Amino acid sequence: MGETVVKIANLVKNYKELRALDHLSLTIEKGEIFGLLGPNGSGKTTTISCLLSLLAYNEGTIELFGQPMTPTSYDLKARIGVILQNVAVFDELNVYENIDCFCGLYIKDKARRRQYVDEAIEFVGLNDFTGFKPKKLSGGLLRRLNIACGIAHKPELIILDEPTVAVDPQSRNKILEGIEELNKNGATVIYTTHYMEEVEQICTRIAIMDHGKKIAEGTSGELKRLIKNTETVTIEMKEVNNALLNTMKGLPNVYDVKWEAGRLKIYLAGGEHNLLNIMDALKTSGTGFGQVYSELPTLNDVFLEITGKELRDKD
Amino acid sequence: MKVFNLFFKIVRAKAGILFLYIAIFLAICFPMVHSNKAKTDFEESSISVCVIDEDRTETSKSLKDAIAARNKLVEMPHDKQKIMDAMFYEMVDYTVVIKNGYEEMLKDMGDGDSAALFDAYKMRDSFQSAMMEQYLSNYIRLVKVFTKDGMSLKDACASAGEELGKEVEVEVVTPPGSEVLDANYTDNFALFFRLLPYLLIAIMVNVLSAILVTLNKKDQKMRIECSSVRMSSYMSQIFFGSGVLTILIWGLFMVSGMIVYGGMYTGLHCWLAVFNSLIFALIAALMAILISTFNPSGTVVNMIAQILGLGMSFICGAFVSQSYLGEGVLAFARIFPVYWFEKANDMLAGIQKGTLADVRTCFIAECGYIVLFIVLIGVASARRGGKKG
Repeated sequence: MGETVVKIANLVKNYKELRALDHLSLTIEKGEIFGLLGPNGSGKTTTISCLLSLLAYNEGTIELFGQPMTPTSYDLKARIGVILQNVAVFDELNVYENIDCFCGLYIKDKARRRQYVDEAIEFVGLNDFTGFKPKKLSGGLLRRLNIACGIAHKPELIILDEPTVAVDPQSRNKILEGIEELNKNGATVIYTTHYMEEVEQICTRIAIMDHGKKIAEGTSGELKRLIKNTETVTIEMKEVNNALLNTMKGLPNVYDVKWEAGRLKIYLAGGEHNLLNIMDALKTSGTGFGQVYSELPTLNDVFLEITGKELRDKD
Repeated sequence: MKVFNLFFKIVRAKAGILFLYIAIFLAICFPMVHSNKAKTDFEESSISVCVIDEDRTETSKSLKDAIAARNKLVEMPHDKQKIMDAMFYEMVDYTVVIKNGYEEMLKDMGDGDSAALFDAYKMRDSFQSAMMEQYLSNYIRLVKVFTKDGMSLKDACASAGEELGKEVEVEVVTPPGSEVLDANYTDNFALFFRLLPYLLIAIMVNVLSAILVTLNKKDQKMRIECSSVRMSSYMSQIFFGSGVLTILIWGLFMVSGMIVYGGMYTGLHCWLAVFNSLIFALIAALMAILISTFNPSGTVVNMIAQILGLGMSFICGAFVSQSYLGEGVLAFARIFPVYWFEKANDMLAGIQKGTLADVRTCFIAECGYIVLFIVLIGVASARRGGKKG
């Protein structure tokens, strides 16, 4: 067991009648990239706000680096880097000045700060834009600036709240690679998003949230093992008859078969040689078909099976 | 002092507005102040007159010489079109045609109307026309008076010309009731200080409010709250920055005042006016801080600056002296700090009756606004803090 960086226990936050966080408990170890996954409104940002003492909460406790986190825990705050959901930079300052300004909130020594700012610029790839004002930057570059402002002081814990919203694929990849690199350099990362692909790509452990509750927690593999589905085979075909449907349903490990929009979907739970069995059944039936492909379950499938709704249905 | 430095980095971005206002102010104020000097030194004015003598007698020549003695004579042929063109281009202010038979008519006219003696080309309602017509009327009246006294027409014309050509002795006196007038605090400085409220309000709101709104933007402030900077330190650095900026802006205007006037402030009343402007600069700054607590957008900030600045300046006597404003307007204006600033300024300049004790009363009233704005800022900030929690 590593060093515990974040410990949230039974956290409750109410907005008048609405319960935004419902007895949420999380433990994050040093060196993890911890993903908070959930649809919009699931309580991810509220969790982060409470964690940073930006919001007062009704019940529960929050500890960072083994100490209680309060609005006046300035020593703890100095060890945290924050990249909030909305880009928080000053339009009046250029890229360099913005990073220097936010780094200066933590690092007093000028020479050290200059070095850190240069490294942050290098890290997010904004070398060619140091003199640019934020309004002159594209959405992706602006997000990178936002990240540079949050990580320039080399924090031990980095909290990123949906940093890739409205970002082009190139910038998104750059950001995700950067987060992995920060983690390799020793930082613990908390990453909130509603993009399951990003969580699967970079997070070492994931908590899935819905309606202010943690509905599941574990590695990507552990989460997927929580559900029945292990594989879904899709066959493109013009038409399907009842005989074929019944044949498929009768195959080993198949627990459901659906025909929709020219695709026959066969849901499987464990077992081996499933694709071979399906192909054999297709040949025997003599039915014509197009592409056949197999997909492993995603976190969306996990979310769907646990909550009965799509992860992105509120997007 | 990172937040203080940040404050002035944002000031740098807004400096354009500040210097634009100062440049416009200097451009407007400089000629106004310098043309205003005519008020204190009397100077006789002369006009350009074209005299068309159709009578061509000794008597008509006398009149022409008398006119030439006091005005600039422009020689032109009697061509209506050319005369009108010359008047249009302001080469001639007034053209008088001495009618043929002038001498005879003058001898025989008795108490008749002198207008029958002349024709004229003139700009309607111009002061030059009024001045020349007055001159001709006086000249003919004097000639008639002198001839009635037994003078010959020739001597009467010469005497009338001589009489009207005499230099008038004028002494500029202090208006009654202007006991506090200071010789060193002239109308020029009074005009400069009178215009200050509009500029101070416009600049403070456009610059200081805009900076504070930027620093208090939800996302940026939240980001700073996440850092290791204490909020008390953050707020005190912003407060310190606001104070320094206020003094800098006020100082810039005081230097501008010296540039406009062309010299240093001298005399008690002048320095009291400087002090008055410092109090008002603080009021304008607090007004700007109060506005910033409502987090208005950039466009709204500019709109508020214009409405407050122009509105209070018009009502309270910044653009037009309080002595020209109606009682009702002034009664309403009393609720605004600009009224007390202008009243003190007018009293110090001797434009309004008042003593130094009255000026002090105005200062106290202005200080009252400082207290009021501090309380309002406190209440607004507390309400905003309450909403956040």
